[in-house]
Amino acid sequence: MAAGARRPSADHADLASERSRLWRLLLWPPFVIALALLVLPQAVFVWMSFHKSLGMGLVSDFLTIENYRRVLTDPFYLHAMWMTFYLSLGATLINLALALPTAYYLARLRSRWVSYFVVLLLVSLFVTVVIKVLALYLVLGKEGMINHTLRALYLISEPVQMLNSQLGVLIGLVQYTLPLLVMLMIGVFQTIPSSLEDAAEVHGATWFSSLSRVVLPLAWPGVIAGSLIVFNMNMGAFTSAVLLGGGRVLTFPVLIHRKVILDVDYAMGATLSTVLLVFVLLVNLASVLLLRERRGSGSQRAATVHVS
Amino acid sequence: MAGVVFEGVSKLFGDIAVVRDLNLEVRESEFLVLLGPSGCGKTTTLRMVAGFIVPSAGTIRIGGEDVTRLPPRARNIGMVFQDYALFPNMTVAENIGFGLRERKVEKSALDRRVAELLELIRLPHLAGRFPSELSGGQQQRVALARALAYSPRVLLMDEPLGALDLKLREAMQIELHRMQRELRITTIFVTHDQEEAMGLSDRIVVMADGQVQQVGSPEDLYTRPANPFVANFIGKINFLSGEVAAVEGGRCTVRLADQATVSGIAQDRCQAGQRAQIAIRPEALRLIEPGSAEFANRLPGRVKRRRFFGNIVHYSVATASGQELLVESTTGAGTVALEQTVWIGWQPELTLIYPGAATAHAAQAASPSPAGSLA
Amino acid sequence: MTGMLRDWRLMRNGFLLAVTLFVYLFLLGPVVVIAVASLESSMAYHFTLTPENPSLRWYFAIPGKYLHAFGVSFLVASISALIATALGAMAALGIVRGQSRGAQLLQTFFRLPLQIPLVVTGVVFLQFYYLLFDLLGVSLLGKLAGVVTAHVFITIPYNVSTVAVVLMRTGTRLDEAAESLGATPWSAFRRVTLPAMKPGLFVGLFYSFIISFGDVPVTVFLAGSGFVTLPVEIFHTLQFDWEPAVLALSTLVVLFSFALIVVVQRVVGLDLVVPQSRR
Repeated sequence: MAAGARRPSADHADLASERSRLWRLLLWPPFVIALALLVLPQAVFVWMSFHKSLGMGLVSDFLTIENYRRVLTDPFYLHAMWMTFYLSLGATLINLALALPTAYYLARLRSRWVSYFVVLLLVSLFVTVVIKVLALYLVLGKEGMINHTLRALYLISEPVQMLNSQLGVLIGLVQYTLPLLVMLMIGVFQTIPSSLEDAAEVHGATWFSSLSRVVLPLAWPGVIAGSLIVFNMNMGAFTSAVLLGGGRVLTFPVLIHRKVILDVDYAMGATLSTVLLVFVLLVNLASVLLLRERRGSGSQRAATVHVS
Repeated sequence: MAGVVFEGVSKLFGDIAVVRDLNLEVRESEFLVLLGPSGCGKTTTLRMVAGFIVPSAGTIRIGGEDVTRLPPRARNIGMVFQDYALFPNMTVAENIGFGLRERKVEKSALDRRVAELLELIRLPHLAGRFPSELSGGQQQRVALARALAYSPRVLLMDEPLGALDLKLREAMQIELHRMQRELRITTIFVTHDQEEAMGLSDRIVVMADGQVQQVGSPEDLYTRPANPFVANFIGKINFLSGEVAAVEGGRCTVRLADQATVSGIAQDRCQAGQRAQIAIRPEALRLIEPGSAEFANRLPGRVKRRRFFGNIVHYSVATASGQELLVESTTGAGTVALEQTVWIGWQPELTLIYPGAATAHAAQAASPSPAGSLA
Repeated sequence: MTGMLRDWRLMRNGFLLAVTLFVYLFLLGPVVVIAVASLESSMAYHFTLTPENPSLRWYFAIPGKYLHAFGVSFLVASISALIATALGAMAALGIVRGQSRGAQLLQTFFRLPLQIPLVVTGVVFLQFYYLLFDLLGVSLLGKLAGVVTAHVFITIPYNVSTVAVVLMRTGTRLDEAAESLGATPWSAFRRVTLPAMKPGLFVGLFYSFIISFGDVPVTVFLAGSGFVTLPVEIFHTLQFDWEPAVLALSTLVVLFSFALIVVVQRVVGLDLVVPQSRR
C-alpha cells in the first residue's frame, strides 16, 4: 500500500526535477556574462593599480605598491576619503529622516492621491542627475531663487555662498538619491500590515511605542538594505560633486575623474578606485554583520512572516 | 466588565452611510454576535468600538463612559483581528505581554500573568516560539490571550475564525465559548457565518445595509425572524408569494398564483389585496397522503430531486405554480420516488407571512446559503 | 477628553503630510524652476517668479549636438534595457523555476554590481576597453557596443529582482493548470508564464531604461567624440560653458520622462514599480 502510493509521487518528483534542470540551463548565459563583466575588467584594473604611472597614459612594466602606499598615507587622500564618507553618510541620514515619514505616509494613505504621488516620485527618479544639478544652480546660485528671495526680504545684503561648497554637494547628493530611497521605503512599509499597528494601539500602545516596538523593528532590515543602496550611490556619485563642488570639494569620485580624464594617470586612478571599492564593500559588510549581530535569528523571522 | 451602548451611531464614508442610526445595548458579560453579509457595516461598527473609526454622529459608551472620541489605547478593550496581527518580531510570550508592558506592569507580575494566560490557552510549551512557527489555530489562541492579558472591559473579535479550516473552527468555537463563560467578559464578535453565530452567542444582531434588521437570541431569530431577510439569512427557508385574501386576528390567508390558499401568522399588519411573502422552514413541511386532513396548508407537487444526508433527507418539490420547495424529512419516514406526485402539508402556526414584502429576492441574493440554491 | 482622538490623529497626519510635501517641493520645485527659466529670453540667468520677456526662443535654438545626443541616449538606453531585461529574465527563471541550490547566493551575485560605486565601474570599463584595444585591436571606446555593455552590467541587478519577484508571486500552479488542460510545457510557458512575467519584464525594462538614459558617472568615461549621451553632453556644458538652451532642452527631457511614466502607469499600473526592497 505504502509502496503503491509512493510510486506516482516519485515519478512526479522526477518530472519536476527534470523541468528544474531545463530551467537551470537558462541561468548559464546571464551568469557567464555577468561574471565575465564583473571579473575580467576588475582584474585588469586591479592589475593596473600596481603599476607606476609614466605620464601620458603609459604605465611601468614593473609592479609596485607605491600607489597604495601614497593613497593610504598621504593626508590629502585620507582627508578626501573621510570627506567622501561623511558627505555620503550625511546625505544618507538626511535622506532617511525625510524618506521614512514620507514613505510611511504614502504607504498608509488610503486615497486615490497615492498614485499621483508615486507618479511624481517616479518623475523625480527619472530626471537625470545633471538636470537636477542644473536646477540646483538656479535655486542655490548667487542670482538664484533662495538668494533672490532672501534679499527681497532684506534678510541678507550679500548673497550666501551655497554652490561650490560642501553644503552644495550635500544638497546635490540628497537630491540625487532621495526619490529612490522613498520608493524603497514605500515597499518596506507596504509589507508591514497596518493591522499590526491597530493591534498595538488597541492593546494600549501610543503611536510612538507602536512605531518603536512594532513598525521599526519589522522595517529595520529593509531600512538598512535601502540605506546601503543609497549610501553606495552617494559614495560613487561624482556628477553633483564635480558640478556643485566647483573643484573645491574633492571627494574620491572627483579625484578619480580628474586622475583619469585630466591627468591621464590611469595607475593612480585605478588605485583610488580600488581603495574606494574596498572601502564601500567593507562598510556594506560591516553593516550586514552588525545587523545580524543585533537581531540574531529574529530578523530572519521578521523577513518571512508576511507571506500570508 | 462593562456593557457597551450605541446611541444613534452613524458612519458615513463620503456620501455612503455604512452604519445608519445604530441604537444597541450590549449587556455586561454578554456574548453578542454582529452577523451580516459582507459590507453590511458590522466590521465598521466593531472598529468604532475599538476607536479606529470615529462615528460621524452618535455616542458610544463603555461601562457608562463616553468613549466616542477616545483613542483606542485609552479604552481598555481587547481585540482579536481577522489575520490575528501577531507581532512577528516578538515571541509568543512577548506578544501576550505586549499590553501589560504598555501599561508599565512590573516585570514579575507581567511574567506571572503571561504564564497564567499560556495556561488558559493551553500553550505553555510554546512561550519562546515566534508566531511564524505556530499553526493557524495556535496563532488564534495567542491573539486571544494577548487581548485578554490586561483584563480589558470588552473583548472585540473580527471574524477571528475565518482563516481556520472547518474542524479547527468547530473546536475553537467550543474553546471560545468555554473561555468566555469562564471569564464572563463582555464580547462583541463579528462574523458572516450564521452557524458560528448561532453556536456562540447569547444574542445575535443581524445587520444589512448599515442597519440592524433584528436583535434576539438564536431561537428568536430562527423561529420569529422579523423580516424575509433575516428569515433567509438564518438557516434555510422556503418562500412563496401571493396576495392577501383574508385577515382574521393575527392570522392571514394568502392566495397563490395558482389559486391555492395558504394561511399563517401575520408578522405585520395585513390588508386584503396586499402582496405578501410566505416563509416556511423546510423541516415544517411534510410529505403527506393525498386527502389527509392533518395539515391545514396543503399543496400538490412533483418530486424533482432527493438528497440524502444520513439523519435527514432533502426533497425538492415543484409546485403547480412552478416554484420549488425544499422539504426536509427524517430518514425512515418512507422513501418517495423521483417524478412522483406528492402532497406537501404544514401547520399555519409554522407559517410566516410578511405583508408587502418584496425584498425576499434581494435577501436571497445577499445570503450565503439560500434554500433556493439547493434545489 | 472630548476631541482627543481626532486632534491626535490630525497632528500625526499633519506632521507626516508636512514632511511629504516638503520632500516633494524639494524634489520637484527645482525642476519647475527650470521650466520657468527656460521661457526667459535673455542670455544670463537670474531668478524671477515670472519670466520678464517670456518666449519660446530657446526651444527653437537648441544646438544640434544636443538633439543628436538625445538620439544616442535613446538608442543606448533602449538597446541596453532590452539586453539587460532578457538576461535578467533568464537568470530569474533559472533561479526561481530551476529551484537552484544557493538561490540566495545567486541573487546576491547578480546584485553585486550595485555594490560597486558607479564611478569605479566607469573607470574599470575604460581600462578594460584599453586593454582589449591593445590585445585585439578592437576599440569599444566611444562606440555603441562599449557603452551598452557597461550599461547592461549596471542594470542587470534590477531586472533579476523584478522578474524574480513576479515569478515567486505566481508560482507554478498556473503552469500545472495549463498542462492539466492539455498544453505542452512550451505552450504553457508561452501562454501562461510569459504573460504572468510581463509586468516584471516591463518594470525591469523601465528601470533599466531610466538608469541607462540618465547615467553620467559610467558613461562619462566611455563616451567619445561623436558618440556622447545627452546627460554627458549636458554635464560637459555645465562643467565648461553655459548654454541657455540647455534649460529648454532639460524641460523637454523632463516632459518626455513624464510621458513615459504615464505610459507605464497605464500599461502595467504602479504597484510593481514600487520595489519590494526586502528581497
